[in-house]
Parts: sequence; structure tokens; C-alpha cells
Amino acid sequence: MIAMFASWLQKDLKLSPGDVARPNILHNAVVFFAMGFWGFLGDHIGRRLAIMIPAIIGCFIAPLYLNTTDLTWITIGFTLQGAFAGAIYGLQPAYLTERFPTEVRGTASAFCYHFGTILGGLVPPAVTFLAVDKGMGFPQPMLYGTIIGAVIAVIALLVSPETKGLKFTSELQVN
Amino acid sequence: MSLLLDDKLLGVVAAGLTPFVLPNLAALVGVAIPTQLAIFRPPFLWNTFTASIWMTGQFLVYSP
Repeated sequence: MIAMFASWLQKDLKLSPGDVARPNILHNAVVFFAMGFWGFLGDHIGRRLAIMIPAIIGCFIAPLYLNTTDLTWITIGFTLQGAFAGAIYGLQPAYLTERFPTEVRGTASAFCYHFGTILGGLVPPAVTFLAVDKGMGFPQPMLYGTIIGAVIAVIALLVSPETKGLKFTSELQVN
Repeated sequence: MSLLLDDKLLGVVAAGLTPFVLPNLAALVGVAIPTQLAIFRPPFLWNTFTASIWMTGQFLVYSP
């Protein structure tokens, strides 16, 4: 969603650096405030819901800017996406930390985080392969990647523990 | 489909799954498990697995 967006605007749409920068700057400005909002909401409705809701909404916003070549719609859609799929990372540090007891917290959060980055890091080469070698262009692989990723995150969160209001403990309990 | 069956991708997936399997196999034959590897054993195994899948989903959203 973020990593390949500028490549698409530059390579496929041949936009100027200023036109490429505008939606990115607006997107990031919205992300900055939206992460705080979803974090605040996560303290009230729970961590999982505060990540799942923007992820689901983000699936419906992605086609708005990926199924068009109109820069106005691209800018509006990508800016709006900053409030939803762009902001699902806000609760990442809190929720990842709260899921494990103190003795293994560093190990577990580091492992899970980098497990995600390794598999997620395969996506840009895969998107580029589909876009260039298979001639699909960038938007469709980006759309599939965004929706598939959001669905995977939502399913994983549905079967994950809720940690809102959890008291931290250093006691390790292994059977 | 050929992309999903790429040798390098399968290698990465195998490397990701190995930590989930080896500590449990070692424990089955009586090998002492370091505290940090307890995240790959019950009751943390499911938590570690779902957290890893959740992080994968999030980075899949970010990367494309």
C-alpha cells in the first residue's frame, strides 16, 4: 500500500515528483492523527476491534484510488486511506507487548514482528514481478496485496486474545 | 501459482515454520528448553502463531 504506491505513480502514470509527493504527504499527515485516534479507541473498545475496524474499512477504500488514473481521486482515496488501513499499525507496539509475559516479552515480540516483516518483505518483489513481468500493472497486485493482508490480519485477530485492561505479570506459566 | 511454488519462497516459509516445530520435537525427547523458546510451546504457542500471522497481514498491507 505504501511501499509500491510511489513506484506506481512514477512508473505507470508518469507523474512529476510534486504530484507523487502530494498524496504521500497528505496520507502521512492523516496517519499521524489517525493512529492516535485508533489508539485512544483501543483503550475503550479493545485492541483487536480498534485494529480490525480500520483494516476492514481500508479494504473498501483501496479500490477508490487503485482503480483509477485520475490524480484527484488518487489523492482523495490515498489520503482517506491514511485514516484506516494506513493507521492499523498504531496499536502494534501496545498489543504486541501486552500479549506476552515479561520473561519472554522481548523474544516473542521481536520474533513475531520480524516474522511479519520477512513475509511482508516478499510482497514488493512479488508485486513488481506481477506488474512488470506479467504485465498486470501495479494497481491490481497492490489491491490484492492490501485486501489479502487486511483479511489475514482480521482473521488472526479474531482468534487472538484481547488484552485491554490487562495487568502485566512477570510470572512465566508453561505446562 | 508458479510464484507460490518458487524455491526461495518455500525456503523462507520453511525457515519461518521451523522455530514452531523444533522446540516441541526436542521437548518430546526430553531435551531441556531455554526459557525464551517457551514462546513456541503451549500455552504460548497459539499466541505466538496468531501474533506472527497478524504481523504478516499488517506488513502485507504496508508493503504493496
